[in-house]
Amino acid sequence: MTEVKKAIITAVCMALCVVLPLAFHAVPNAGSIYLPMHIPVLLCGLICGWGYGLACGIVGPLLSSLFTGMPPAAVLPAMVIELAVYGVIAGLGMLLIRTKKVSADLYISLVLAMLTGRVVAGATRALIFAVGETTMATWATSYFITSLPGIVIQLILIPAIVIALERARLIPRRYPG
Amino acid sequence: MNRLPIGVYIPGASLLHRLDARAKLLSLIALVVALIYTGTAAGYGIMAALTAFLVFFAGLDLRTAFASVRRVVPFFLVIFLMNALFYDGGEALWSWWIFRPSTAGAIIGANVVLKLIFLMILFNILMSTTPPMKVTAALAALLQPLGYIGIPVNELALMISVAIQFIPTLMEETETIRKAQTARGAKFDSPRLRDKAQSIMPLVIPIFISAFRRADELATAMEARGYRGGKRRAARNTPLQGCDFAAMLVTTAICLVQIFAL
Amino acid sequence: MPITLERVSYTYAAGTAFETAALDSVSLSIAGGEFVGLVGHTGCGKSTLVQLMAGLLRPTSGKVLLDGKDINLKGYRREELREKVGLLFQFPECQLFETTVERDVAFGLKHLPLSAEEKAERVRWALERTGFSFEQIRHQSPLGLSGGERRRIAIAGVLATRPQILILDEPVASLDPMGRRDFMELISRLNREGTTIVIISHNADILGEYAHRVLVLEQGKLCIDAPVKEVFQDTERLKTYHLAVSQPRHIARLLQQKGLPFPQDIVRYGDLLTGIKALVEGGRER
Ligand SMILES: Nc1ncnc2c1ncn2[C@@H]1O[C@H](COP(=O)(O)OP(=O)(O)O)[C@@H](O)[C@H]1O
Ligand SMILES: [Mg+2]
Repeated sequence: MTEVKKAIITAVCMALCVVLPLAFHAVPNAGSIYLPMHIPVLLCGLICGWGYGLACGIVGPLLSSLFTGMPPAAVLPAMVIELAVYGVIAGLGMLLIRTKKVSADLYISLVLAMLTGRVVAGATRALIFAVGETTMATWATSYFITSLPGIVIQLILIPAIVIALERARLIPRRYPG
Repeated sequence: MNRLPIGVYIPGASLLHRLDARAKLLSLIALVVALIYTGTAAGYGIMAALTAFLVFFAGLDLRTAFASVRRVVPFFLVIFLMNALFYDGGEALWSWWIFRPSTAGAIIGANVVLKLIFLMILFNILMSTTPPMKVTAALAALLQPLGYIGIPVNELALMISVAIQFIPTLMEETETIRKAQTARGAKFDSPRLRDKAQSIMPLVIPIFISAFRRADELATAMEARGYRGGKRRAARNTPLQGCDFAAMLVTTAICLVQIFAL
Repeated sequence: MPITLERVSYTYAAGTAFETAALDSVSLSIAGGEFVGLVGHTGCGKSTLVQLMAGLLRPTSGKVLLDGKDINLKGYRREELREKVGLLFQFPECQLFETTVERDVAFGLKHLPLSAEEKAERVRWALERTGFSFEQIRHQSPLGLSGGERRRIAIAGVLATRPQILILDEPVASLDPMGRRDFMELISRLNREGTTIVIISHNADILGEYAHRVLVLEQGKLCIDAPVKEVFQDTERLKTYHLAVSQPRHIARLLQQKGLPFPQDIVRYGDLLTGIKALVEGGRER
């Protein structure tokens, strides 16, 4: 893919960071469970690489906050850091992992990104809010249990989207032939 | 654009509306720094007075100013309780299992929450008096120096402006796709979790396909017109006015007072 | 299965600064088996009207009755509505998402009380109706097909549910003339087999050729509701709504102005041809 195309795809993913959470409002109280904003950021990283993933992870939530007021300013910094890590790690994963099977590459990169992002987010939250001890228990609850449906949905949905885009010939095949 | 019933921007002609977006952004940054260093009753008094003054001058009513705060009350409660119950410095009032509430923890928690509330109101004042486009343009202008350390600021500005153009189109398209799939029997409004989960694929996959198709068309058109990325002339900015400098001066002064005097 | 609208109004984003009144007290009734054309300027509320008929929007005021039952009442079974009323959106190719064509066409059948064999049979029928060879296409990905093919797959997806009322929102707008004719032949055949058709189209020829009745919307108000022959007779009135008559009607009118005795109710090419033949024969006899 050319750099122009990657840049425009990244722009579209940034826009989706604003639009998808609104779309999910059609599905009542889905926002906090399904984590819709993670999807375009992870995808952008997977498809365009870590630099673009980083840009999308930073700009996406900012735009959403600007246009819709969500996420609110108070949670914005933590969210930007978390999403930026998702974008970067997803891109690095796809750069470094080549198993000759698209779905394997995708799953490994995704899981890596989702884990790292949550660890980093937990760490920043513990440091920024200077809580004496953000216990492992509270961290695990907020990042894994509450959002479990979201994690499952993302693991199913994101590879499905990448494969659909390949089939629609909107992104090049990773392993042609 | 006028179809979007979203966003917090409220058109108006107040003094704050007329300030340059870059000046407002820099002032906000100064005030955020000030807020970080606020710790005394006098400090909070200054911030409260200033915030009240700004809300008044922006022509906002207090309800609008607090609207966004109300939505995150549960989040604030969690932050407060986490600090109040788990802080391990200070003297514990009592202790049971992992809980050890302390006055020191409660004070820290109250401080954090108070600062976050001020932060949100200040941010909201900026957003309700400045159109989103101007905010992003100002951001791009302020980030220009980052170009010297290798960050592709111009590309970033291009991506952001393209993203903003795409938002209304994609919103309409999303709405159409949602309706089309409903007509085909998808159950978005069903209370059953299974129906909800099953309705996500038919919604999200077409959204991405449409979005990427649009991206593909635009990228092809740009390449056909010879765009190769790289140098793009930055948008010409209007010069700052006296009142812009005044705003930045006042906020910087408050920032310095909070850091050194209080 | 008649569908009736009683003084239906609809306002988008009611109560906000972005409020738009899209429909204003529209009343109409469409009987089973009719072929109705819906026309009007862009933004006059056509799409809004058909989405209200399909129960995708709830009227701000007024009632939508399907077979005498109010579809927006609490106890109404939405599944029944989905089963009986099919709506094909403009650019329906955007709604495909499944891994195979067969699964995508079957999507709308998921909630219908049918056996697996019946469902499979309907998918086959719908795909063959839209001009595909079922065995060849069933396992392909719908996303990799051409634009025209994807549109036909989407149409098959709506047909498979065998709606008794089929609503089409500008279905031929971006088709080439051949695709347009094939598509309209398919719709016309469904209508002859008993399906009620409601079609939004700017194409006067299509309305003249296929529709029995024409509804004209103007700024959210229903201003004409009459048989197509009647509507196309009043060229001047149509002009005030920025609408044109069909080509055959236009030609017939020009010939009339030249003093040739033509009947007033010519709207189709077939009628025009009959009229010309009659003239020629009349001339010969003289
Ligand atoms: N989702 C929406 N939000 C706000 N206004 C809308 C929306 N959809 C349509 N409208 C407005 O409602 C009016 C009727 O639109 P529509 O029914 O799409 O007209 P048509 O299909 O005849 O072109 C227009 O003024 C349009 O701008
Ligand atoms: Mg329309």
